[in-house]
Amino acid sequence: MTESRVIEFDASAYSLLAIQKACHRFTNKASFEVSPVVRDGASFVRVSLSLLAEKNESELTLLVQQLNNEVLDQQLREQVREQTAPVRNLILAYAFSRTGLIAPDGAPPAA
Amino acid sequence: MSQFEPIEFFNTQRADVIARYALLPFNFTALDGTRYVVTNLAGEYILLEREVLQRLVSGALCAEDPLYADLRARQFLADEHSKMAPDLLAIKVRTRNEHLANWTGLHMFVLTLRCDHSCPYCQVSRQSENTAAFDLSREHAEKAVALTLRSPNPAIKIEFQGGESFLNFELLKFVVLTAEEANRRLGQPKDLKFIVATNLTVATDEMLDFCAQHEIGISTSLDGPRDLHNKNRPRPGADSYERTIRGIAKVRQRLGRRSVSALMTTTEASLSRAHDIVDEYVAQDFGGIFLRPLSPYGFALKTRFFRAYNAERWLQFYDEALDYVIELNRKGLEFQEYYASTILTKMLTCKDPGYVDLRSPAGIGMAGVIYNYDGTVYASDEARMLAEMNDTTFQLGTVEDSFETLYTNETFLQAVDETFAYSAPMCTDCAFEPWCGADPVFHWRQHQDMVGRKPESEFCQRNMHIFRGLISRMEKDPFVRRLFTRWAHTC
Repeated sequence: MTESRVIEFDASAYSLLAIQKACHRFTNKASFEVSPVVRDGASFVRVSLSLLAEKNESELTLLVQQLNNEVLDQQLREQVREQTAPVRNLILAYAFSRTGLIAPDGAPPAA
Repeated sequence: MSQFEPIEFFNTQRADVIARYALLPFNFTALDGTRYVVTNLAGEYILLEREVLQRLVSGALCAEDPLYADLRARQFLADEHSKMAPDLLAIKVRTRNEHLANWTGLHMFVLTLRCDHSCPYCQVSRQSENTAAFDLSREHAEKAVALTLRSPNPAIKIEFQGGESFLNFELLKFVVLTAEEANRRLGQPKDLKFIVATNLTVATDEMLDFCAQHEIGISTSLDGPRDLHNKNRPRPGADSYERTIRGIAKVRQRLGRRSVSALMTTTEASLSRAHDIVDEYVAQDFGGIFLRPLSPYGFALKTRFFRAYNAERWLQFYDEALDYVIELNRKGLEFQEYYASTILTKMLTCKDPGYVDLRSPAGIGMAGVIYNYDGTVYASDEARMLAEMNDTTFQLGTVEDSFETLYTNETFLQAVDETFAYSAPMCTDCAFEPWCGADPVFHWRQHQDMVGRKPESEFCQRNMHIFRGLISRMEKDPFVRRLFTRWAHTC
């Protein structure tokens, strides 16, 4: 029988997207079900994970630890992305401005 | 009066209080248990401990932090001393992507599928030497030349492929002369170059003289020492190695020392021979070696050669060979591993060498295109190998089609769109993305999906391991850092 476990993340500390991305990174090892839940007025993100192959309890614990760290990383990435979105768009627009790959809205790309 | 501002001018931020800075876009990926590789949009990297990374993101770094100046100099953050940072970063990103506007530069012509070898891993079906049924026709070749010169790229390379290219030497001559003549007639002639992929076993003096006259480069195959090469590449007489080595010497004599390069294929038998293979390349006076795994196409797959080893085993082989190459350099020999050099150029300079498998969006069609022996046109060499297995997903059309029709092919556009690593799942968050690429044909073959499932992707596994390995080696050893910096600037 394959091992499975349910863990919950506090939705005020972690975004749904960060948790989904973290789960995706381990889809070669486990299957995941991610769902938002509200309990006693507080929001959580519940993750049910089941190992794809038969492994023991300690391997499942290791995967949960790795997932926890990955969620932290993904949340940090989101912070960077949020803070740098305007300048990122400016840089990319400038970088590709002479290639003809970027056209003003509604206009055909440059020949 | 001094022509320089006094030092106080540059120290407007107190070193011991939290600095006022804005983050510039970057990604990070764990290198080991405590450190992260952090890359900016232009692919420049810095290593940070987790704690420093968190302070950086939360705006809590002081100007006196040891890494603050480095982070500013490499455009991970901008403060009042670096108002030009976004512009500088944009120029670097533009430089790195300038090849995109040029469109297709590499045009491969499959002159024939005939070959004198019967390599079990060969990626195109071997055919008899004596039938012209698998030769490209003159009519198709002429149309392929016209399509080639229609590309807006100012630098065009025509690469002859096979089978064994020299078995259809008359057509090779025809293509070279036709392309040169058509190029001369262009309002703005292109920088036109030729290269022929050949095992050299049937190359004659006449062929090599023609190559010398038209400055045609030679790319041959050398799998390692005699026993390994002959085992991998059987032919009548079991003398492939002897003929190839004689051919290399002859080419150098007639065309010059640098006119011939060699590629090797890693079979299961190669895996325990890393040192022997490198030694063979050194003995044959090559300046380096390109270590590459088998691809999951053609006979390699049919005969289960491809599954003879997995990515993990190939990476052990790669690491062993790379470490050996480094040791040879430490002893004074100048010798490169070219895949590492290609990646290091992306890591340590603003240039992109344009290696097809490490381009984003994918290099298929945009970097190279292949005109097959039967007049069909494919988006890459791997795409025509896939077609040999009855999967024509990546066929752009035929040489009868117009340039516009070929390059507005729906599957091709879909592949380009979906393989922009910047927006692919997992790649978008990966610090290695600026150095990596997309290989839609590989992933299509593996997952029936052009993007592929990255957690299971051998392409991803292989490249992530190599990226981490190159950085770790540089961080551990100043000699390797100097060596890798040299490699990065020679690519």
